[in-house]
Amino acid sequence: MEEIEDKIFDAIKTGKAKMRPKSYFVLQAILVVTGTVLLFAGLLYLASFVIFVLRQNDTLSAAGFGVSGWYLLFRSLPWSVLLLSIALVLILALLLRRYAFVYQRPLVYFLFGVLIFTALGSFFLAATSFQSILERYASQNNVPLMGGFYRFEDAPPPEIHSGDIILLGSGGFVIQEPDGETSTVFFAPGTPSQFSDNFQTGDLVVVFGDREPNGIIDAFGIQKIGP
Amino acid sequence: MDERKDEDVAVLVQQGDVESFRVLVERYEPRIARYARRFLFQGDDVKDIVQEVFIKAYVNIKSFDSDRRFSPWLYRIAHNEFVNAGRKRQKERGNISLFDADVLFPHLMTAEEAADTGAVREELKHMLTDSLEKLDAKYREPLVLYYLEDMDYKAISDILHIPVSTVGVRLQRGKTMLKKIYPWKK
Repeated sequence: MEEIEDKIFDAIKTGKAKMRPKSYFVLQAILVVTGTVLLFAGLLYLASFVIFVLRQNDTLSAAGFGVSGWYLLFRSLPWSVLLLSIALVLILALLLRRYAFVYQRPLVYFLFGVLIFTALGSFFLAATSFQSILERYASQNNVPLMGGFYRFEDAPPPEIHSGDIILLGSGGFVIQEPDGETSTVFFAPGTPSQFSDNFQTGDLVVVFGDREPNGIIDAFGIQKIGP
Repeated sequence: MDERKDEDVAVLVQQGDVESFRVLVERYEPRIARYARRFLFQGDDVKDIVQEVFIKAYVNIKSFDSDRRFSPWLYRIAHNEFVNAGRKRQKERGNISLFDADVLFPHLMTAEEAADTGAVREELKHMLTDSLEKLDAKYREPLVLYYLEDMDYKAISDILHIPVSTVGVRLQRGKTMLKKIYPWKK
């Protein structure tokens, strides 16, 4: 016992074991706080980006059209961004797990807290023009690193078609898409659309459904998005 | 005998009173050595590891928050040292992963289990001492800390960095495992 004690005090007296100053731990705490803030900022950015992409593709409203709509929404999610977000959450958990407020409770509580915070923050951020401004800069190649993210909107799922109604019929209508192409939209039996009685020529709509080579779309959902 | 609380002594060390660290070493060296033998199962390098634990404690003493208890803080350093030593030797049975499933979700058993009667506790201590090597590290450590080191759930949670409810679950499962593997003699 004394042998161990002697060795410990020898190490202290000879300077082999030196007490770290308080500033070392303060700096460590500052780095953890900074890392946490940066990770949260990254998470908010990525989550608001996901909302932005889904809005740009008009995919968010697909969720209101049953299983097909949810499946379309699922396939439209930018999964690489979501995986990156999950990686950030895991890094955050690793960074903070040494603190009692994280480890003393089941980890799922911490993850749930992060999810709530990120969801609220990202919806708030998505309501601002932050992502639109970044998209504009990205189109001019002025956004380093993240600029490539904004190519997502160039590849909307093939079942999503938006355009102006140019001709109205009893069982459907004809839309003209932004590229000038026209498609004939038929309401499939049971097509849910809260606006089915209110469509007018000139309305801007988003149509969910496969487009046949002959230009006919059997819609499983239609959403009016503008006059 | 020195009646000062560990936390008060630790504050003196933080303030530069190196000799006060001797009080802490004298109080805890036998306990940490015992804990090391129960964790690592060998005598040769236990002394070196225990020495390293106290040197690390001294080096990092200014990170100790005197509003909290000193013993879980020191045992946490010891736990980390033992885990590292076990990894180096690659003899440690059972792995200590980053995120165990039982730390992810809440467990119903959150309250500290009713204290075992003196006789039951003594019997469990005896069984544990005899069966340590056969127990998975994940269950062995909470059992050792609770029954042999007399730590409460909160202290074990602080040492192992697992939720308090998980401490209860591991103790319960560890006891069940212990009863299965204990070589009952009739």
